[in-house]
Amino acid sequence: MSELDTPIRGLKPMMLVATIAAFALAVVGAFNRGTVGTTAAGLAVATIVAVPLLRVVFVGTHWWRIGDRRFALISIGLLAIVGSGAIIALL
Amino acid sequence: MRDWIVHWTEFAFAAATSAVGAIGGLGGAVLLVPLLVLTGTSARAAAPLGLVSVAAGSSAAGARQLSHGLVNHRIGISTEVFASAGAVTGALASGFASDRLLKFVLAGVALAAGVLGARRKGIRNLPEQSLTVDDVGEHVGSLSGVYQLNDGFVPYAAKRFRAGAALFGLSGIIAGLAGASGGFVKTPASSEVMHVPVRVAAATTTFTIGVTSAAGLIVFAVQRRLDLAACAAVCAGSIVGATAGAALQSRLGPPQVRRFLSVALVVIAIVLVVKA
Repeated sequence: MSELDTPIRGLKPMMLVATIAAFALAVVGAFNRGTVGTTAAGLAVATIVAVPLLRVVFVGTHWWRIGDRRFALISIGLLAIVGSGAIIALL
Repeated sequence: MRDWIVHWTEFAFAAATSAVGAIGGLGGAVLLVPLLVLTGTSARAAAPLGLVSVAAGSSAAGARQLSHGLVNHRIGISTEVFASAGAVTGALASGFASDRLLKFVLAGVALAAGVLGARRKGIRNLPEQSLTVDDVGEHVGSLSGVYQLNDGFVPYAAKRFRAGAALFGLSGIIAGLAGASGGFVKTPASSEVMHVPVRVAAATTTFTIGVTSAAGLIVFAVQRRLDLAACAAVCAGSIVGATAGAALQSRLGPPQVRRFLSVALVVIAIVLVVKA
């Protein structure tokens, strides 16, 4: 039987806090006009985009720490693909 | 005043479709995007809103699923490399596609989701007596693990990775083009092609669709295709709907909901084709 991985520290609290923050910002952004509403809406979208990517960062860092380098490198590759999309769209 | 009504409608649509999608296990965007298009939003504008719904639903369900040890991050991230590459390609391509073509793609996606959702199968792997609750989780350095099924503990290992990866790439292209999560391709690809148990496949898909949608949303943001107020309304509605749907899932019968969803998606596909 292969070695069992340990739980990833801090991942669940990060996701809970970020989801609650995204919800609060989204409510303000959806139902408020002006700069406050636009800023809150932008931050809400930024938060829900950041959560899954931060999760990949947490997981990749955890794998690097425990010596699972192959999968840590795959997680870096995934983030590079997501980043390359933004760069290509800018061109 | 009109903006308020529009945003409340978007909020209500997102909450309802995310709740129904979470109960049925298909995700809400595959219902939300066609609904928005049928009520007057252009397919080009609806796609980013679909991805916002997916990302918000994925975050809302993610923390809950981590507690159950069902998500296999190694399988998720390894297959997500292909899905995210597909999502970036699809999102970039959608900028050049006509609204009529996107409606046809959306109709095809709704039809495929309806058919695949109705065909989903049950349990493949069986519990092993020697395993205990201490064995639950994923294994270091491999695409394998153990999950709890009722009172038993079931070992599993992913197979046929290349075929699965190709389907994940396809699901990413669908997500980028149409704004649907592609989860209706990912979960069957994991369970039927890669032989990952359905519950692990579904939980892992909930994680990976968040990454796919993030990849697509970044492209849409750079192209300035996000209506921030609409995105916020959909985000808030999806978090509410996905949380309520996940809580209701254990009380209602997912197979019945999936059958209802399948019929609804086929009808939506037909209406979209007629209107295109």
